[in-house]
Formats: sequence, structure tokens, C-alpha cells
Amino acid sequence: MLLETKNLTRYFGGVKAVDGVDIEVKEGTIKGIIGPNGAGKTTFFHLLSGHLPPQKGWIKFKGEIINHLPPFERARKGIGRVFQQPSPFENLTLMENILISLDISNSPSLFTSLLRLPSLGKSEKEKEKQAIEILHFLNLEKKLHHFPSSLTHFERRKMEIGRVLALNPSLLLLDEPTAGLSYREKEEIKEIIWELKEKGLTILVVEHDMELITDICEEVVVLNFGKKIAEGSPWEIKNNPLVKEVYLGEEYASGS
Amino acid sequence: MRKELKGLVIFFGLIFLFPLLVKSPYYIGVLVFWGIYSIITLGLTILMGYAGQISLGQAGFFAVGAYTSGILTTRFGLPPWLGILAGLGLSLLLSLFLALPSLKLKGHYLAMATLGFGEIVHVVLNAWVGVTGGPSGFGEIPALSFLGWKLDSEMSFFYFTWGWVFLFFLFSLSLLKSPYGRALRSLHAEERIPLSLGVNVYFYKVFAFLWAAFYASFAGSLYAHFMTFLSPSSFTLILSILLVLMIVVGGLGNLWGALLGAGILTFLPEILRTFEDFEMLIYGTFLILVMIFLPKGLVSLRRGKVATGD
Repeated sequence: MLLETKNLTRYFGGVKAVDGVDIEVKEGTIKGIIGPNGAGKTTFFHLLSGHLPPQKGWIKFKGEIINHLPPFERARKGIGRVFQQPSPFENLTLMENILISLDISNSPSLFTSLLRLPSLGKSEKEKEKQAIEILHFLNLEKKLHHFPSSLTHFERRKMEIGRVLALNPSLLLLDEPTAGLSYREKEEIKEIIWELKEKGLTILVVEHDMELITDICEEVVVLNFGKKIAEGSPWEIKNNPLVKEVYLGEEYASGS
Repeated sequence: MRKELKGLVIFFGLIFLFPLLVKSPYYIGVLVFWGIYSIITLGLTILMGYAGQISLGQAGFFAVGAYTSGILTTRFGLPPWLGILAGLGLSLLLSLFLALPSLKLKGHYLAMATLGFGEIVHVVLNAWVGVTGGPSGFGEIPALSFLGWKLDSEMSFFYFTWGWVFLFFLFSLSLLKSPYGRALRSLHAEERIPLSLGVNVYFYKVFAFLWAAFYASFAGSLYAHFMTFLSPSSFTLILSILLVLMIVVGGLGNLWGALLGAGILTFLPEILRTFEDFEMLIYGTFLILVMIFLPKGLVSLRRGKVATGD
């Protein structure tokens, strides 16, 4: 099991945002997390990436409990998180945005950097090559030296994915990767996710779009009010009466 | 890097020619001050302009560098370079203590903590009479010598100081153009973003503090050996604020801005002295105008052409 949580719990005051959630994610699979607004999906991601500490339960990644690790160490261990809102480093070019995460695993010493010894140039070249590969994969290589402010929403979102891929993660956490995108753009994201799976990545994805979930996920977990209420294949979930009630109830109520 | 080097060569070429053209020791002395302040601002701009922290206590590190090397050379007869190293060591240690709470503090609270540090140093300088000489300070600090060349004239000290400014500029530039600089620049964003990409935000915040303290302390030691006299009145909160102003006026997060700001705010009072009563009025008006019309500092006048600007 690549990722395992047990009884994972997080309260905000009296609100149980995540309430005793157990999940297991097998290597090389894509698992979806769905649920109505406020079901605790994003909070669950915060717990996994270390941006929030849980009050109860544990998280095991690659067989090791990681509860105590700060976010940057979890990232270094291979948990790559893409946030819901694209938030690039606005003062860095697209290329530099990607280099930031490549620096983590390939950075010369401070001494080498300050004296600009030849090995600095060598490692910079290596990383630039890797960055271009990643940007090529995402179809962004033409915007290499652009600043994020000149990119479209779609390009910024892909840049975020690229930045996380540069960490060379084994687990990818995607938080609504297609929200606010056009049909065409959604298709491209889907394509990217498939290719990443083929490369052996394990992916956990939070989505509202049931069609996307059906297309890419092998298994789906449904959260409601912080609790896991169902788990199974997309087909099973679609026909689960409890899930129908939660979703239809909400859809009727919100009128969408 | 190559482009910046061209600018550097031109700028420092002009600076080094200055004493040959203007022989007045007075103006050469003012330029020495510009050099000393530049070293501090070149470090401080890394902390404030890149790591997004603030320090209102930089005069404290300047004082630690000045007093440590001043006292060790004058009272204990240590060679100046050892005094400078001791000052650097002590400053790094103190800045580490100051940096640790800074990981939890932000904005105004961090400003207050650093301001407190500067004031504590000032109080110690005044009160520890046996060591620091108290409010009246102490003198007869020996001059520096460099490769057997005694730096006891304005001219010789000028070249020594600006030689160091050049080196410190290169160090800061190398830092910014390296993976360390990239990581520092990423601290501008919300903390959770660099954290989620594996950047050890805590390390870099502390690092920037140490970096700035190192520069300020070195500048302090130069100051001590140039003035050959030290008293607490040279290391007040006003100086800390002036240093921040230099960076802001020049252009936050830009090495050229740090140099330029230090130069302008060193020269301005000298020039304005002729206006006597109106000196402060003009000075204040200048600062306000810069803030209103050039909020990104004087370097923004040369948009897009400036080295290491964002």
C-alpha cells in the first residue's frame, strides 16, 4: 500500500471536517474522492500534505507513519500536491517555477554556489534540461521564459502540475484539476493524467465532475460531513442509493 | 550573469576613478560612508526584498561588528582581521537567536522584535561602561593594514572599502543567481506553496537573517577602523530606519537599488546642508515624492534593464 490512513480526524471547533476516515491507495492506481461542498475533501488533502495536523488517527506513506513530518519533508518523500487555486511564484519565470522543485534533489553546496564553481553550471544545465522536458510534456515549452502573469488560467494550472512533477513524486494529490476549464482543456488534463498513470504514478484526485471521475478512476471514495459513506468502483458508486441521496439532495437544494 | 558583470565593471570603474578626479578628502570620506552603508544594504535587501522579512535592528549588528573588533584590537591588542572575524561570529550567533522567533512572527510583530534587539544592543553599549566606554565611547582604534599597506588615509581606506563592496555585491549576485536565490525568491508567495514543493522555508528565513547580519557586522568593523572612535550615538534606531529607507528608496529586492539608495541617502544630507533650516523639509519631501511616484524605488526608472530585478 502506498498510502494508508486510519481513523484520520480533524475538527474545527465543533465541526468535524474530517471524521475518522480510513483509506488505502494502492501503488499505480487512481483513486477519486468525491462529495458535496464542505464534505471535507480539501481538509483531507491538507492533512495528507501536512498543511494541517490531524487530531486523531495516522497517515502511513510507503509503510512509514508521517504524521509528524512538516509539508516540505512530505514533498521530499514523494507526496506532490497540486492546489485547487493555481498559485505560481509570480516573480519567477515559468522555467524558474519548475526549477524550484528540481533544486530540492539536485542542489550544489552554498560554497559552490557563491563561488560559482563549474559544478554549479553543470547541475543548472541538467535541471534546465529536465525542466524543458516537463514543460514539453505539458505542452508549455513555448512559454519557457514567460512570467506566470502572462499565462492563461489553463496554462497556470498545467504549470502547477509541472512544478509538482519536478519533485518526482510517487503520489500525486490533485484538487479539482479541471475546475473552471473548457471541454477541450479538460480533455487535455485527462490525457495528462492518463499518461502519468502509465508512467507509474499513483494519483488521488478530488473532483466534482463525475464524468471525469468515471473516466480516470478505478476506485472512488465518497465523503459527506467528513465521514466516508461509500467506497467502490465508479459504477458501484453511481448506483449506490446513499450516494444518490446525498448528491441528488444537494443538487435539488442548490438548484444546479 | 554576464550582463550584470558589464554593469558592475562600469559602475565600479567610475567609483574607483573618483578619488583621482576629486581630490577632496571630505568627499572621499563621504564615499567611504556610502561604501560602508552599501555593504549593509546589500545584505539587508536579501532579507527584506527577497525573503520578505523585516529588520528594524540592523544597527545592532552594525554595532556588534564595530564594537567587537574595536574592543578586541584596542584593549587586547588582537590583529584587526581576528577582531573582524570575532565580530562576524558573534553577529551570526546573535542573529540566529533573533531569527528563531522570526519563524513565528510576521509583519509588525517581527518588526518589533528586531527593533527590540537593536535597542537592547544600544542599551548595552551605554551601560556596560567597563567594556564599551559607556556613552562617551572609546577611541584610538588602530588603523587596518592590508598587504603591508597601512590604511590610514581617506584615499587608501576608500579603495579598501569599495573593494569589499565589489566583493559583497558579487556574493549577493551569486547567491541570487543560484538555487539558493531561487528558493529565497519563492518565499514571496504564501508560505504553503514553497512548503508543498519541498522548500525548507524555515531554513531560508533563518539563512536570510544570518546573511544580512553578516554583512552588517562586517560593515561595522570597517566603520570602527575607519573612524577609530566609537560611541553608542552612532548606532541608534534612527540608523536602522535609515538603512531600511535606503533599500526602499533605491528599490526593494534589487542589488543596484541597495547601492543606489545607500548612495543617495548618504549624499543628500551633505548636499542639503547648504539649505540649513530647510534641510529636513527638503529631505522629507524627497522621501515622500519617491514613495508616491516611484513606489518600486529609483531603480524602476530604468525599467526592465536592471540586474536581478524581478
